[in-house]
Amino acid sequence: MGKNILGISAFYHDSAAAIISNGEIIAAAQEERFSRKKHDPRFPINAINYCLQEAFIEPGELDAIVFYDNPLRSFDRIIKNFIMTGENGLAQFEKAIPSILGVKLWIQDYVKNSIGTLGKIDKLLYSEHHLSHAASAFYPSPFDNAAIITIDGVGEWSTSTIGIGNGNKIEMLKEINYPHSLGLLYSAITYYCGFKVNSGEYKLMGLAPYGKPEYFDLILDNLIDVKDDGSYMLNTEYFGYLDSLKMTNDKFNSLFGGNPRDPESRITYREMNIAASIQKVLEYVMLKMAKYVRKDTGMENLVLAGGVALNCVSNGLILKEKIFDNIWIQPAAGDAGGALGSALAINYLYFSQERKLNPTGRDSQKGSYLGPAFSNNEIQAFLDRNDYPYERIENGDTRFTKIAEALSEGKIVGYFGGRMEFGPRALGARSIIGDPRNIETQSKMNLKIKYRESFRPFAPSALAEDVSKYFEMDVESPYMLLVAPVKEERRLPFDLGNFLDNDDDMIRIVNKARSDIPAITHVDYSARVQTVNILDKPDYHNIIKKFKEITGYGVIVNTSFNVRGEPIVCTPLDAYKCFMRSDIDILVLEEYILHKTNQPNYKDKENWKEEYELD
Amino acid sequence: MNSINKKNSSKKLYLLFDEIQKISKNRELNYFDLKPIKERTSYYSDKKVSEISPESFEMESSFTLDNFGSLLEKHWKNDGSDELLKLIPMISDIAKEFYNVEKQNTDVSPFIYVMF
Ligand SMILES: [Fe+2]
Repeated sequence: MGKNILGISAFYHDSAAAIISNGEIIAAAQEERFSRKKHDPRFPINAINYCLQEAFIEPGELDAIVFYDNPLRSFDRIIKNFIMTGENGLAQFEKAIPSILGVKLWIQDYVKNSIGTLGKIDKLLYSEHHLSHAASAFYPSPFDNAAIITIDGVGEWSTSTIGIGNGNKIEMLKEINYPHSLGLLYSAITYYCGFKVNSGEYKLMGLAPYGKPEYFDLILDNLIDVKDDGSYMLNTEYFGYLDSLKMTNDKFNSLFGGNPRDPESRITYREMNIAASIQKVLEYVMLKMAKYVRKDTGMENLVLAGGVALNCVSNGLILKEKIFDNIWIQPAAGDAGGALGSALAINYLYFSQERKLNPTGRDSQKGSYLGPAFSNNEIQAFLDRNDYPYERIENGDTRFTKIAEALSEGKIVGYFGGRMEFGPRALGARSIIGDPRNIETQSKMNLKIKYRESFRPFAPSALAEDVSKYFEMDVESPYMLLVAPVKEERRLPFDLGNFLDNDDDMIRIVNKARSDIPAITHVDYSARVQTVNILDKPDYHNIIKKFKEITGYGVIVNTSFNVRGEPIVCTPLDAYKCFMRSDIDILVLEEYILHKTNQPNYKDKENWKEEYELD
Repeated sequence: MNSINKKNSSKKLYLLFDEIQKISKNRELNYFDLKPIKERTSYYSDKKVSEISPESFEMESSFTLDNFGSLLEKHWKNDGSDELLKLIPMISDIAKEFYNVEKQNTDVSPFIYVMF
């Protein structure tokens, strides 16, 4: 008999719920999408309710409920950490103890209070944090067997683990433990460069191509010792996370010759060079680790998860070096994905269910389109009730052509179609899309839609069958987790060094065309590629195909459907609000098309620009 | 929690901190290394148990305010951290005072995804 299992992650960063039934991933979603509070860490009651509803499962029908982490072991680490840090740890102690003893330990009570049951087995199960990551990487992958690497900040005691997946089994072989953490090192430097820990890491990665890795040796000589097998230890004297509320300390500051950058101040060469250096260190460790794991396990396939696996530049390098024959990365690689991983771990390792691979040879993540969808009826009711003018185009071909035409004319389109994505990236279900050939697309999307200036270009969505025409890449990257260079013949001459000598205004630099698809080409000619396969997302694939028929280009710009600091939109109402708050020209809600010029004046009740803060 | 209770709880919190300081001073402790040990050839450690049994998911399952202390005791006895056992009554006491599980996340309305 197949099992119904609910997985939950909460209380650290980006809480989420996932439900699997008979081995199939039915639904998964992050709480932030419902609560509209970015990276919402609270108990994910809305996400749980959604998952149950999507699966048509009553709480009492759940065979088991699992939490993605073992809070008792995290508590053990916290107490031992305070013993190690002595009197210096007081400020952190005052903050951490009430929150863990008051709230974070009592998941079982939260579950009982919110859904009234602990499932048929009548006890809440706990999966080890890195086992949850490992399971999220291996079980949905298209591989019968694979080596597994998980790397993040910290989960209970572990910061990196190596394992093997085989059939329905996972074995965890090796680990590196707190306080030695590649994730925390990267986060510490994220903090030092003036970005937010836990979400600004992506910005640091985007900043790296501007800089020179001048601090590479300094970091390796002082902060981290890396062995040939990719294992590492940090010198904790330089870090604040053990005994303060900051990631770095005075000793760190003097090593880098100054205080952390004030988040409001201008980014200088120094931050660019530090970003380039830590990125190089991360890649240095990851490549060594991957080579060791290949040799040690003998596996041809690699699967990855944990927050560090969201570093698509390092992933792209592991791919390029061909250390493994195949790589699969869990798109919800951060802790939200732990909800899914823990449910899968229970299905296979607790209930010993048989694992069936997707017979098509593709993965079982369903394109990560695992969130809510809205029917045309629901959308029409919403539009009619509010008197929002629309045109309905039921014929897909006509509708997709119309969208593609608008894009080719330089219009920006808010596209809302099908089930919402699970994981941090928008993949064409809740995306803002535009024309990549147009040099103005980037600045328009940045300034008039996202309300920010960004030194990072946007990401491309390319037809899977055409990807190698635009990028030096011959594999699929359905989850935007791999970086690849733009094809040589598409590049325009551009000397970053020259630019930086005369001008450190990164916005001017990023707005300078570097290829015939400038809106998605980074200063080092790289792009964070999403390949779109017709099997995963036919509607989105069709839009790009029509765009290609009109322009000759099978690639468009894709950015998440939100304004700055806001979670990605979930409902038609969220989408409409975002449409009206920004300069998006056209909103597509399934079969309904809305033009900005036709809409009634929109009076915002919420002071949203203050509501959402920057990463 | 009223203000008098709050004061008492924070007093208990500092007593726990003091007790932790005593352990911190009195023992040759090494729960983890603070710096790289360059002579080592590898920094990986083997997982104690590589194979994952169904029981491993249940080991500390179902802990509540009532049995948390005894589970923690079991855990610390198992891993040889006996020096920490004397903290448990204080920890349990603080947990009882700080316990703050709400019936609902009140500032977030449930079922928003079917909001209209
Ligand atoms: Fe994690």
